Amino acid sequence: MSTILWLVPLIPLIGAIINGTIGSKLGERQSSGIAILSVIGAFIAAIAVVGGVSSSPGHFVESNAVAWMSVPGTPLSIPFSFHVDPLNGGMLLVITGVGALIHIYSASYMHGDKGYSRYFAYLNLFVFFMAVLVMAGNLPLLFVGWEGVGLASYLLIGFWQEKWSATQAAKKAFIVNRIGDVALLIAMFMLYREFKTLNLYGDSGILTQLTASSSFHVEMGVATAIALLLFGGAAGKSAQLPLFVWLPDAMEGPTPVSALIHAATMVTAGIYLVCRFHLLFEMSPLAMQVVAWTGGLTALVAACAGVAQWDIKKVLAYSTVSQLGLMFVACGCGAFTAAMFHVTTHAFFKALLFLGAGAVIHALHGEQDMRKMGGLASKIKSTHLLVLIGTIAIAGIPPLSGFWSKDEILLAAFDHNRPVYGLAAATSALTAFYMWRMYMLTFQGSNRVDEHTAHHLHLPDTRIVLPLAILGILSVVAGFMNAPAVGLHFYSDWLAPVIASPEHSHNSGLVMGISVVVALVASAMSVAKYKSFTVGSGEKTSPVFAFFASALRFDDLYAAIVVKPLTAAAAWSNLSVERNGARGLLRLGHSSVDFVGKSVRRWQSGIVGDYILSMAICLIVIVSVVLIAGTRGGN
Amino acid sequence: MSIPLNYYIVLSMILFSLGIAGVTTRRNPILIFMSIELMLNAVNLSLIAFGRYLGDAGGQMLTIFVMAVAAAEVSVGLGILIAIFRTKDNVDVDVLNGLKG
Repeated sequence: MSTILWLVPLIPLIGAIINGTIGSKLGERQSSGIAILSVIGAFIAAIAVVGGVSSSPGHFVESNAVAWMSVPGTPLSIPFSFHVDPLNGGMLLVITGVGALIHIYSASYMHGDKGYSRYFAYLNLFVFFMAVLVMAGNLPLLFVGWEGVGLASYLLIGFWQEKWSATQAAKKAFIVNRIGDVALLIAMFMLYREFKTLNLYGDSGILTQLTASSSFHVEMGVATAIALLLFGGAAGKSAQLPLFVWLPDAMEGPTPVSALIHAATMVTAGIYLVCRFHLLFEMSPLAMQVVAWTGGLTALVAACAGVAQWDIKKVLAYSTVSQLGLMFVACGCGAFTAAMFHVTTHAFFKALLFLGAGAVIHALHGEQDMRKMGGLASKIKSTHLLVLIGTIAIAGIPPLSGFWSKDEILLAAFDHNRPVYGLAAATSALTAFYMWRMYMLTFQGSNRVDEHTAHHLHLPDTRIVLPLAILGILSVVAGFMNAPAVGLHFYSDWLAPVIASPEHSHNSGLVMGISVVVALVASAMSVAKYKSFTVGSGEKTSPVFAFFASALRFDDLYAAIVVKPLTAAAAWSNLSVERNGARGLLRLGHSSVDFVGKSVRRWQSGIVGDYILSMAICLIVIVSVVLIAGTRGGN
Repeated sequence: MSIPLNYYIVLSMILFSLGIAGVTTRRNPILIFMSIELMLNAVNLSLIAFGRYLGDAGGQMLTIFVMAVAAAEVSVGLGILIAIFRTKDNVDVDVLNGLKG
């Protein structure tokens, strides 16, 4: 079993190496074939691993530890070890499964791109690092995966390197993520100080020590600090306030990338991290409050921004930020099962929506502005139907998956944190509103596509429709993995060895009723408002709309308080330190050498007579000196 | 009566200085060669004078060596000179400043 564990990250890595080295010599078919097969291979290995998890008595599978590094004389010893339990096993299936679907989709979507094999090399590399991240048996290895997915994300956001905005967005994503990573690193140092190990599992692992809290005691303040620092790392990766600004910009990458990395998998790594350390978070009520409030506020802010976007991908990007916020609300309210459940369902319907949006953009030759869409329902029927399913799912209309997972979160918030419940409920209403807005603007109403494009629609082929269809089916049925209201709780039973199942709440009927009404009313309002949309119906000019469209001006705020002072400091140091200081010193050195060289150079005239004259003069001088010295010495 | 050693040395110095003056000021390589010969012979003169003064045959022997080497040197030098003349069409040493820094 432990060998199969190694296969999960190894197969995509091999795919990445093949495509990254000789990929440019392969044709598109071979290149995408290798990439797709490697991820499908990883998926099959992951299924085998998860099967092993469910059949093993301890509900986990572990690889043999291969030594990586250790510090003699200290307890610090870090092996390469993988550990899969129900929590990360579920994520592993989502990563490789959705990953495989998106690879298949990409094979058609990226057709004709000159970086075709490079694209698949990056995508496989991402799957490799993501698998390392979730399977890691210790924190340094997790950090390798954590940084690795950041790297893959950077490479793929900036995939179209010749596009200035894409490279800028890639750098922004990388830098903003670094801020969170510093917090995560400090958390690791503190964990080592407290627990004298960085291994997560096993007899002396951090999580084991936390479980046996009777024998081990961490001070409340320290636990809070570590939890908050871990959450800082999670907030960077999962795009939470105040570090969410990179995710909307990350839409500069190809659409399948947005679906895989910036919706379904990588951005949920933060949720995974918090759930992994849920014992630590539960020790600190303050940290839980911070997580819940951050999540709630992020959800609401991003939902407001989502209402005011015209770019179809930006709508989905803000929607992702908002849904991630809801997942953190669940974490902050102690409903870790609900958070992981929403991670899973969100992966399905958000990947579906992104890929659907990608199909629309593909059909319209790269047009992303929803003002230039409309009335596409009859043109691209299959895509329309599947995006409709995704929209219903995310809007929280029963019985699709989004309803069940979101309901769990709302219920937990209702029971544990009423103000945050208010934020989450408002977010749900806005979610339904902007998703229907997106749907209506894209597929219904008048056709605003320009003549030429309308006559040459790129109709999606099987490789695009098949992944959409599978994700569509999953979006419909995935909710029934965990629908306590109808007596289904596979998912919480599955997670039970890691995360205790939530106690039954007597408010569930009330919360569910409110959710359904809110979702339906918001959807109806949105449909009514955008049924007969025409360009320039006044929304654009309203200052509130502009404020929302800029995501509450967070980018401007950061430009003012971070970017501008930094650029000013850089300009100052360039002028005073670099140009006048360091460079002045260098110039002094080189100009003095230059001066001496120039003056001595005149001596070498190339005329033999001059040399002989100099020689004679020097001889005379030397001989006279010797003679005079000899006379003196003789006395 | 024998001529004192001082006379030879002074004559040798005068000849040597004349040679140096010739080498440094002349622009015709033939004249420079002649000046060099002058310098060499000044040295030869002092060698023989010292040899006689010390009663040592080494001075005369060294002089013959110098004359032989000088003959060889002149022949090589003239050969180079002809080669330069063939390529540059000019043998004025002030113009031949290809080694100027």
